[in-house]
Amino acid sequence: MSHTLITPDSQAKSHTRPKGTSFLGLVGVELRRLWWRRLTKAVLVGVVAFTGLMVYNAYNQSSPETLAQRLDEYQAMVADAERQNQEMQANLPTMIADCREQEAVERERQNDSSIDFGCEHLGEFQVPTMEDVGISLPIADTITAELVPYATFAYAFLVLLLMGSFVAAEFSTGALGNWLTFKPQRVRVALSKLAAAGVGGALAATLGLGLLVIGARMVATINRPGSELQLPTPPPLEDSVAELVLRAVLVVVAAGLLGAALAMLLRHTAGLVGLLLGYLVVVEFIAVQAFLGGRLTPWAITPNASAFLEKGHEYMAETCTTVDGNRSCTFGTQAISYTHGWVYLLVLVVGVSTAAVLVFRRRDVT
Amino acid sequence: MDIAVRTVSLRKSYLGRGGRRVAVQGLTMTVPAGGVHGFLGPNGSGKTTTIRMLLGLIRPDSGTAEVFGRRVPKELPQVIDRVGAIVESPKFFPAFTGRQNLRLLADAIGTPRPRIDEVLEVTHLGDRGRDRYAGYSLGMKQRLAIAATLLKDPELLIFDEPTNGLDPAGIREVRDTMRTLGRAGKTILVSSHILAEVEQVADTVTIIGHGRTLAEGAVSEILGGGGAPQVRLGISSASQAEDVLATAGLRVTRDGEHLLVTGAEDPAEITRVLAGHGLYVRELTPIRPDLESAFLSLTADEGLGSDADRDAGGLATGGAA
Repeated sequence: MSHTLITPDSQAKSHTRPKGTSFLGLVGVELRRLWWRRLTKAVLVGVVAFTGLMVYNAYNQSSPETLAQRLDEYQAMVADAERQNQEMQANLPTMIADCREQEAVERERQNDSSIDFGCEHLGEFQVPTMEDVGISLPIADTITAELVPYATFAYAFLVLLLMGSFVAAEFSTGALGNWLTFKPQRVRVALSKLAAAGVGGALAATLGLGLLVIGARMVATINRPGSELQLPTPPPLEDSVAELVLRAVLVVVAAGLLGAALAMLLRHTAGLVGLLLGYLVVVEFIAVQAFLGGRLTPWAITPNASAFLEKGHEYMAETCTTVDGNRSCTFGTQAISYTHGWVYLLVLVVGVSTAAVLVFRRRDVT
Repeated sequence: MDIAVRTVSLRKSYLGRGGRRVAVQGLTMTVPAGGVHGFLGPNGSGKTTTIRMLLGLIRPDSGTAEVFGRRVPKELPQVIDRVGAIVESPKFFPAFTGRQNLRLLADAIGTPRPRIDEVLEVTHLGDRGRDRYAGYSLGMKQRLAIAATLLKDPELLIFDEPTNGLDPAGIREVRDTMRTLGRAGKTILVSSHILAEVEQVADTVTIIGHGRTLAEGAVSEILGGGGAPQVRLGISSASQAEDVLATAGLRVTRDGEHLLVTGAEDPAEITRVLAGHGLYVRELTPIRPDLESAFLSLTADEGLGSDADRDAGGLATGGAA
């Protein structure tokens, strides 16, 4: 071997100067790096496996055998309820009389004639419908709409970790310093990484949701019951499946951007995982549930993602009112609107991404 | 003289556990275009920090840095294609192959793919390009880093401690590479704490200590500053020879069995004077001034280059080089 690595012959034969790369070209390079990573393949396998499991579960839940069994259970439940109703009807006059008596006592005790125990409704009996207990014809759109929210959160979690690792790996290996000696335009470099994380997230979500939609259609086709099984058609969906899937893709893209941006700020995958788990446990599971009677829910991430995805999200929270100095609180259902959901997510993603780019622009790379 | 790199009053400090620590304080340096410029100083003297500032990786607190006349970091993108650099140890993605790592960099700057094969061949990694970087030896990693810098065919190459951890053959390879590139008209800025390594290849040097410039100029000038040439003389009649040489106007001091003669421009002058008095020389060794002595001389008043520094891996004379 020569003692000299570089000789006059080692001058570039193919050309003399690099041509430079556009921003899109830089995003393409980042996407290539993303594709080459083993973790990317592992996440894609995870997405496919999770989708497969959900479709398989939907297949089992809606198979003619399962539906026939559930129909039998439903009919047994209805028969049992009707038997109980008949027994109750026999005692109904006594029950109504007792009820009215107690109502009168309470009115007198509180000196309030408006108190109503609803005694006239005693004995009213309504048999739950098959739709009420979830028995209906397996329709592809309905199956898809039921599965998409679960799939979206699973994909979002995986993509957030993948994109966080994708960016953090550059810091931890030190390759970022090398990269910046080739592309010193910090803002451009940061934006290309975020863009690649977003595009990568969209591709992963499209893969998973595409398989989910195809799987749901296959389940609906395979599990279409014969004429011997008479099942009601589920009510039509309020929202189109295409729009739901598009919103699901956007949620996963947002997760990818958040993962990349947080990794740019934290510089360590372990730090990102710690932050993510810490947030889920401390904020979403403990603080939101335990403090202020659930009133923090509208400011947590997952309820807003749900509100965006499903065009509204309901949650239980305490509502307190003060009348004449007396404070009274009741638990009830509250809602996060679709608009609240998408505005919240947009502000979160844009805010964290902007902070990440600004920090990346100024930070020393050692 | 064309200037490749110029810094003026460059300063950088870090906030650490023990408070703010100044890494570089008022560093002024000029690197002429073409040839090898040594950037010398003990460990912790601010060499890597300075190089990182030149490459826009860290921002100076104050002062200015220019590369090919462009202010860094603001105008660095305009000249970055003319600059190749290896800062400290080579750092690539360990799970990717050498070729994949190079391809990412080549695509980022728009270098045609065939150039990747060329630089892999040039650095003798042609048959290992498809192996994972994590499996490379230190020497191979260093060669891959050199291959990466060659993707741009740069005019200025910055090597930060390029021989750290290399075996003697690797050190020789890197040294010869720097020399060849310098002769080919490239500018090489090589930082090192191994004086002998730089002395063998450098045309000019900047010596720093505690983040400050201590000396700068051509190697010959720096060495010339070490004092008049000396010769170590071995002779049987040392006392008589001492008198003869002193009478001839030369400065003579005892060094054990030997005499140290200072002031003779040509050692032949010594043998001629002594032979004229019937005294014949047994041993005559010119003592060549070197960067180590120059450095120690420069840092004598600074408290640098001391035993403590050397013990801590600070300043080394580099036997392997």
